[in-house]
Amino acid sequence: MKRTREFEALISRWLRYSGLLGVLYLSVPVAVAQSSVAVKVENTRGAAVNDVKVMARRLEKNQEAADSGGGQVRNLAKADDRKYTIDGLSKGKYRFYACDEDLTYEPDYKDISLGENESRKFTLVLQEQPASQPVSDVKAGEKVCLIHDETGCRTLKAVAPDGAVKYAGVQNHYHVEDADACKTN
Amino acid sequence: MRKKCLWFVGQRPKRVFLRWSLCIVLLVASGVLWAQESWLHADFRRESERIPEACGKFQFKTIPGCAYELFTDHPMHFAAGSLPPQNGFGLGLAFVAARNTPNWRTDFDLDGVGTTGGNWRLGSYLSLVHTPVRPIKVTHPKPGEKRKKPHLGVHPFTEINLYAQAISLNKLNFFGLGNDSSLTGSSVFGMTQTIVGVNAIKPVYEFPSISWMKLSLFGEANGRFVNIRGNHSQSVRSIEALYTNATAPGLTSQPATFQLAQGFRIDPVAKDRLEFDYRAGIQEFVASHYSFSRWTVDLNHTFHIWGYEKSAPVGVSGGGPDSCAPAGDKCSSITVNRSGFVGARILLSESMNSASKVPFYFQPTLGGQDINSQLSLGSYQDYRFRAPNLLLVQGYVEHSIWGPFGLKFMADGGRVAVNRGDIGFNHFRHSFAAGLTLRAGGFPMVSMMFAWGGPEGHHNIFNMNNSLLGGGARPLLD
Repeated sequence: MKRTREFEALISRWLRYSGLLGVLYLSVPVAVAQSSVAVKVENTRGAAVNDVKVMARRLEKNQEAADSGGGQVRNLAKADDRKYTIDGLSKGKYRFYACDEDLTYEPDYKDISLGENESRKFTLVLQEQPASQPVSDVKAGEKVCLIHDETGCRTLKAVAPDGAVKYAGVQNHYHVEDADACKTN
Repeated sequence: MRKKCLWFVGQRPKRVFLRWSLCIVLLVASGVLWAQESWLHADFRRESERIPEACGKFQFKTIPGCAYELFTDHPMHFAAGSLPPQNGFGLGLAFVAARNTPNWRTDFDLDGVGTTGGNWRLGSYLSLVHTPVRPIKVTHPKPGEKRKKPHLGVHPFTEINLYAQAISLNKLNFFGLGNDSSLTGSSVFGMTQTIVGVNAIKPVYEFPSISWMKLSLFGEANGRFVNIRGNHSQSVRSIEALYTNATAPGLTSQPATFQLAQGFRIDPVAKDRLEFDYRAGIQEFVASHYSFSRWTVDLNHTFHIWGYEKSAPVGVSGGGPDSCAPAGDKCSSITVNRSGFVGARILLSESMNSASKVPFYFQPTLGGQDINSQLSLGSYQDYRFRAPNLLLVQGYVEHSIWGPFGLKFMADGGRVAVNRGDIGFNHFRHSFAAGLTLRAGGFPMVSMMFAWGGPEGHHNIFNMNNSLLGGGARPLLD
C-alpha cells in the first residue's frame, strides 16, 4: 500500500516536473523569437508631432512591400512625446508607419526584416509641405476619404470652397475614395 | 551646462538665483533651438543616428545593410563607381539635398571622386521635376480590388537638369581612326573635359490618342571645354608620338565647343511584356575649327519574361546621379523577385560632315567599353575602334539567379566607318560576353563580364555604374 502511494507520488511528481519542463521547453523558442522596435517620430525640422499613431503591419512572404492592404497591424505604445515602442514581434518582415490623425503631415514608413530577438530603432519623418489638389466631380463642403497609398493612412477631408482637398506632401502619393472608405478603417 | 548649474549650489542665494535663472533661460533657449532645427541640420542628425544603427554591431549579416546605408543614405554618402575604362575605380563623397514645393520636386547633388591613379571627377547637378497640380478623381474600388500603384515613370512630368561637371582621365586608348585600325597603332592620351549645361525632357501627354507611345521630347545645350594631353607613363606610346592633327583631328588644339541636341523617345510596352524603347536625335557641335552635326537612332527591344510592371529594372527618373529616387520618394528596396529579359538593340550614329571636322575625342567608339562605360564588342580593348560613324547590333539575355544577382549574356556585332557611305553590315566585328550583374535596390549597378570572340583575344570587364540605381544619368562625354 505504502509502496503504491510512493509510486503514485513519484509518478505525479514526474508528471509535474515533465509538464514544467515541457512548458519551459515550449516557451524557449517563443522567448527567443521576440523582437522589440523603438520608433522616433518627428517632422522634417526635428520637432515632435502631436496626435500621431505609429503602427506595424506584418508583410506576408510574397506580399510586395508597396501593398498597403492586408497583413496584421499592431499599434506601437507611446513612450514619450516622440518615441513609440513595441515588443514581442516575431521574426518576419514589417512595415512601420506613422501618420497624424488629420493627415496634416505626409505619413512616413520603413520596411524592416526582423530576425529573432532583435532590437531595432529608427526615425520616421513626417513631411509638412502643404499641398492642395482640386477634386473633380465633388461639390465644395462634401467629404471625401483621402488615402495615403504606401501606408493606407486615411482621413475624412471636406472639399474646400475652392474645390480642392488639402494635405501635405507629394500629390501622387495619395488618392481619394468615397467618404465610406474611411469608415472601414 | 547641467554640470555648471549644479556647481552653483551652495553659493549666496541672490547670486545663485541669478545664475539659476540664466541656466533656465539657456535651457529653454536650447530647447527652442532644438525644436526649430533647420531641415539640413535635422537631415545630418538623422543620418548620424542611422549609420551607427546599421553599422554599429559588426556581424557578417550586417555588412550588406551597412554598405547600403553608407553608399545611399542622405544628405552625405560615399560616392563610388567606375570612371571611364582604363581609369580605375573612383571613391569619394556625395552630398544630396532634396526639397519639394507644390509644383517642383528639386534635387541638388554635389559629388567628387578620385582614383589612386590620379583620375578624378567633380560635379554638381540640379534636377527639377515639374509636378503641376492636376485634378484628383474620386475612385470607387470594388471590394477586394487591388489598387494599381502609381508609378512616376509613366506620369507626365517635365524634367529639367542643370549641371557642371569636370573630369580628368589620364589613360584613354587611341588606335587610329576606322574599322581597320591596327593594334600596332596603339597609343594613349589624357583628357580633361568640363561640361556646363542644361537638358530638358518634356513628355507629350496632351494627345490621348498617342499616350500609349509614351512620347517625350528631349533638348540639351552644353558648353564643352576639352584639354588633351600626352601620357608618357605607360608602356604604350603617347598619342602625339604616333599621330598628327591629320590622323587624329583635334590633337593639336581643342577649341571650346557649344553643343546642342534635340530628339525624341517613345517607350511603349505591349501586353506588359514587349518594350520598344526607341530614341532618335540630332547633335550639333559648334567650335572654331570643328563644327559638325551627328544624328543617332537607338532602337532597343526588350521582352520582359515575368512582366514589365513586376520586374522591369529600375530606370532613370527625376533625380541627381547620387539619388536613388526623386525627392520625396523612397529608394526601391532590394528585390528578390525573379526578373528576366531578352533584348535586341540596333544603334546607328552618323556624322554629317567630313571626318576631319569631327575631333577624335568626340567620335564614338566600339570595343570593350566606351567613354560612357557602355559595353560593346567586349572582347576587344576599350575604345578599340573609333570613327565618326557607327553601327552596332546587340542581343542580350539577363535573368535573376539569386536575390539581387543575375546572369547576363551578350552577343554583339558592329563596325565603325570614317566615311558615312562605308556604314553597312559588311566587315562586322563580333564579340560575346557573359557574366554576373548585381541590382540591389538603389546601390549602383555592378557587372562583371568575361568577353570573348574576335581575333584579339578575351577581356574581363568590371563595371560599377557611376550613378545610383534609379538616379539620373551624368552628361555624356562624347
